[in-house]
Amino acid sequence: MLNAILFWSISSIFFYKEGKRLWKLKAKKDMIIFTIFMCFAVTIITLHLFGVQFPYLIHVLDFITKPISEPLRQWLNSFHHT
Amino acid sequence: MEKIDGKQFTILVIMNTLGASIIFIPSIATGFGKENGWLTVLFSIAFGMLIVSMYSVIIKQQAERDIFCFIEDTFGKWFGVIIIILFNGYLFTNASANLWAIGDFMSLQILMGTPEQAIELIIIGTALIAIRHGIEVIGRTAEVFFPFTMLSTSLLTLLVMEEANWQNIQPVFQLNRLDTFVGTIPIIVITFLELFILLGITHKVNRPKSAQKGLLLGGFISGMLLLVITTACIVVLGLKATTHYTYPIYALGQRISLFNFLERVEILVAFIWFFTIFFKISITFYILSNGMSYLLKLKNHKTLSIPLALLLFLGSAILIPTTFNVFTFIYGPYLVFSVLFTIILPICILLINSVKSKQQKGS
Repeated sequence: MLNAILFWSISSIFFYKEGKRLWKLKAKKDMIIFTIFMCFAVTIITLHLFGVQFPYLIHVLDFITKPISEPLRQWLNSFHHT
Repeated sequence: MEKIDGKQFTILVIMNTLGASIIFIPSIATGFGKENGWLTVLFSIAFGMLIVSMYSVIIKQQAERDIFCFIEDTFGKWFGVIIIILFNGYLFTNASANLWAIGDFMSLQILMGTPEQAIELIIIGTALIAIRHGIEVIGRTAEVFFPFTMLSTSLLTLLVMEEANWQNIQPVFQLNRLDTFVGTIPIIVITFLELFILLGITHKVNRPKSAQKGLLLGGFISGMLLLVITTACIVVLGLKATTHYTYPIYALGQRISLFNFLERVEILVAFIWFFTIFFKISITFYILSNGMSYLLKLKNHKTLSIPLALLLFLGSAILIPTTFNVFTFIYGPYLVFSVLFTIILPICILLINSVKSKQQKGS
């Protein structure tokens, strides 16, 4: 919980600073996209900090590339001396 | 518009090539080539320079255009956008992997007991400051730290040479010939192929010719440095130790002892790696943030830098479960993605553009 509070505090400072910069630039589209991305990043990291276990990227990438990466890895490992 | 000169670009190329590889290459090279590990690196330099030459031709075709704009011009609007999205995914994976690598190394070897995520947060925070200052500042900072990095690398290899046992690299190319060649694949993947990412900043180099020259020169110098370090690891630590240590170069630093005055300077390794990988993360992050801005047609790359920094931090936390999985990652999905985005994509770019230019000449 403490980690999450610390993270929210840092994120809100960042949000305020960047929001202020974009407001001055009158970049409305940038402001909307920044808000969407920031909300997404904060939500997903908060879930991670609350112990929600996301799949490891290596497993996801391995799943996507399995037909190629699996035989390739086996072939490479056959030349690797341990 | 921000500009860097050819010298700064060359330094960034060297820093990028050494980045993740300096710490992993000796064990990968000896894992495949055994006593010919140094030859594996030598062959990698030869093949790598061919690939870098291909990138150099792309820089010429790019003609001061942003790589994302160039991809869109080459492949057309819709297909171009799909490729840019996928390429951004590759950049994200690369930056997260490098962030994880330095966090893992620091928490295991130097700041023992410190949570890996705390180190990663500090590093991505620093990279965030760097990219918000822009490429000019990153280039100048690299110029400042470059002599120190080179001095540390030279000291690391020279000071251990008195312990060298040259029998460790013999017999030369008599055994494991095929393994020696196969070992070049993962080495090229984590060194020279990643230089394609740097094409994202070549339009910021004040003269395109100096970017081409910088890429070739930087690639060659860093390759030579990797060759010297791998050879030093094999002759000083021996084959078994170089293969089995996760960070053989760190063990090399632990061997340094000079007149009871210069002792345990393995921290030099940490300095070298910290500086090189910091620039690698910053550059990849900078190009990723430019890529996302291009994709979403934003006014400035700074807009998405903060949320992307947070996502990269999360990416590094959920990338790999343990250090033992790192080679599964390099030999598997990362190799596939690297080949796809840094060999097949550039070849397609070259072919399409040469056909287009022929058609233009014909008409």
